[in-house]
Amino acid sequence: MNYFVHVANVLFLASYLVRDILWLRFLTIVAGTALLPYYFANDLHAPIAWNAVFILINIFQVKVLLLERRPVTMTEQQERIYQTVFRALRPREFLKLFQLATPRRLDDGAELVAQGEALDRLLLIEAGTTAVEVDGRAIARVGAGRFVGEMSYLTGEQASASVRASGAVQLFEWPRDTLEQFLAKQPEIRSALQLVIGTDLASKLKTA
Amino acid sequence: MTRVDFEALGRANVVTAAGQEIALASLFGTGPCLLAFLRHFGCVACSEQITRLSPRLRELAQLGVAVVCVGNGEKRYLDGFIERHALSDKHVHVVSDVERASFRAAGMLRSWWSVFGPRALYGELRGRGAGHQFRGIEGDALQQGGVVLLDADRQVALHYVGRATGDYADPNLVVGAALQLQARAALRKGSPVV
Repeated sequence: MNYFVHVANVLFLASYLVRDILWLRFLTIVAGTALLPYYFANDLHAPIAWNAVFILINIFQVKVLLLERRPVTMTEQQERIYQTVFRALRPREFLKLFQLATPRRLDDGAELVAQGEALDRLLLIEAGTTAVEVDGRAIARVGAGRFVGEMSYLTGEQASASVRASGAVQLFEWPRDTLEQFLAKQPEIRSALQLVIGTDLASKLKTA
Repeated sequence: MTRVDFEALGRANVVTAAGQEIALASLFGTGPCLLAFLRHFGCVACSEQITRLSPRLRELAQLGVAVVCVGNGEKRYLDGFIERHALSDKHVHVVSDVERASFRAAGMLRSWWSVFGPRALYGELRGRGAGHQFRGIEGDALQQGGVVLLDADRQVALHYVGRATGDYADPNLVVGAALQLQARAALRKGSPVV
């Protein structure tokens, strides 16, 4: 029975020598499992129970690590949007953010934002062009790869202009509350999104 | 409630990397200004703070924000800090206020508990765990840091006072506040809000 103890400790030793966390946890699972026959043979119930807990925790963590390490695959549409707008994010972060968005398609003349509206969403134009209008007068155009609603998102102010589709427009829409709840738990994605929005905002203000 | 004595803050004498003694206000620029107060130049947490803020300096520059890091150690410590963190070619002025007049004007905390209490211990361990090294006491050991973000009209847009070692403003908070300033400035210029 001591044989199992020696095998387990050699495996623990190996786990302490590796640098990759996945291998460390895997070796720890195997080492913990190797100890179980010794504990069972000696009726050591407390060590059996705790060992089982540790093994289960490590199995869960290994699963999480493997999920995080999966290759990221994007559709062509996602790849295009990622390369155009969201290069500041890591691909997996972008997909997490993208999954929160709702795609919409608007026909020519359809209104994206109404003047005076308390905007509760952030929009990204994927394809097409929109006209920004104040009191019915077009003052700017916002095209593909640009945000609509970021000023309201940042300041909480009502929209002082309306935005209308000039031709067919495809866009993605993030509800403000959903986005904020998500970003509250994902500081790295918030950081990258701030860069994206800031760059978009600065660019618009330069051309205004 | 912000406790910033703006007049005293601007009047505070600081030493620059070039060895000049100037009034802090001369570094504010004409637009928004971020003052990042450090504990002392050898501090583990301040190393962590500048390491996290440094990648965001270009964003802040893009948003038109002047950035000034204020420490309180001797000139040689100031030079060492700039060199260790490769700040000489970045969008930031690093200066030292040995008298700490700017720290007092900005309402920054100074106490034994903020350095030796449990929160400070946690901050110290976290910083060391992240690989930051303690370089010795290179300034006032009891002084805490924080940030003050001033808008173009010199109103305080963000005032963060560190309560213990390792307690510093999240760079996301700082950049978020700067983004809001940029958006509000655009509104005042008549840009439509959408």
